[in-house]
Amino acid sequence: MPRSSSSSPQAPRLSRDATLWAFTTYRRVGEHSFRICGDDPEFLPLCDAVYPNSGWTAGDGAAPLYRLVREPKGLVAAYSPQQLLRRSRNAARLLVPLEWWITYDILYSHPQNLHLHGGGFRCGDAAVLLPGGHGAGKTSLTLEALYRGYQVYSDEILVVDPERVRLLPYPRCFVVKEPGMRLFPHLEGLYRTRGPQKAGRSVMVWYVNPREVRLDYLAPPAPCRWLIFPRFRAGAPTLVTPVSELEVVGKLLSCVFTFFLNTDATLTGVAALARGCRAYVLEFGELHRGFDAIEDLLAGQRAA
Amino acid sequence: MAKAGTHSATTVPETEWPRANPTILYRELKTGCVLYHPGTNEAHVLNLTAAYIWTCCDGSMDVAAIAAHVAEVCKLPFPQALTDVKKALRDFHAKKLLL
Repeated sequence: MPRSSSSSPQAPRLSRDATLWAFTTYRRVGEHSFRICGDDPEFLPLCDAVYPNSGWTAGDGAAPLYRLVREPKGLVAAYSPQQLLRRSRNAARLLVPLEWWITYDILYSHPQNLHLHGGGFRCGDAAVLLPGGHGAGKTSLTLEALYRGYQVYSDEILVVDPERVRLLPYPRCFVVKEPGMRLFPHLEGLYRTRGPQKAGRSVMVWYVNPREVRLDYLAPPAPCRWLIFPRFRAGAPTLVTPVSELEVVGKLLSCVFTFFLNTDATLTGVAALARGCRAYVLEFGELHRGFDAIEDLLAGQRAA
Repeated sequence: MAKAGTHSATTVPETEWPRANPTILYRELKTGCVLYHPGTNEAHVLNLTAAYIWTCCDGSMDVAAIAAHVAEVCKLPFPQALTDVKKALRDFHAKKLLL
């Protein structure tokens, strides 16, 4: 999701003495620490949906501060440390831009890594990557993995150490979209809001804390061994097709976040994944059969 | 010897000494390689033969010499190797991968 520039006025000048925040939440993802605060306790549940499992209590006053502020005429504004992000009459609508802005700040603070759009889980001592675009079925498959007892890395962002070709955990909230939520109706989610517009309409999204499914949901770093490119099509039969190394490169490049942040690390990571992983395309129209096919694949290859 | 960058995109003379654009990022694969051109913001995936040709483009060999290497490595008749090399170089030029 690209960042949008803002021509709006500067963020209000922060003075520790003059500003009384109703709450401040502290977060740390990898080496990146940040704070989110708001001037109304009503915003707290919304802020809790942003990286809910990465709390930190140290009082680092220099950590970047994101703010939710009530403004005149019933507006609520979200600010990054540098600028205004968005204003809305509905605070919930600020969650997606705020969360993505923070996500990009986290990714930018780790330029040495390769960041891919995808989900992932750990099987045995190996990481299984599920790279794919919007609507490919990443979140549903990752949630299904969680329910079947696997530890997961993320449903959206795969962080790969390109030198050691290891997948690193990324403790973001799962963002389940409307069609996927029908498969997991019992997961009410931390927060329900509308996602960004795609093709003229926006879908409802739920921020689901994976800890609601399993407390030890987050997988430890593991070597990348499997690339499975999911492709969900309603009603389609389940089909697993091997992908050549050269095709893998093209597919992975289309899933890269922050390509220009470090093209060198990105290419190194993509080439290393293509060289070292078994790769398949998984077409599926029904989640459970789709994941059964993945498990068959993993079991068969491990036995071989 | 043809001067780099002065040829027509449609013809590659055998006397040309192709030289890779030094700004291109290159990563080796088992079955080829991936190139990234920061100027055009394009990535290119090459198969093993094209990757071999690319690695020969260091300015120390003319087209015929590269074709001779390809013929030997790929066990091809020289005329066919020469045709393939010329085609690959034409593509490299078109994508601004060579100087």
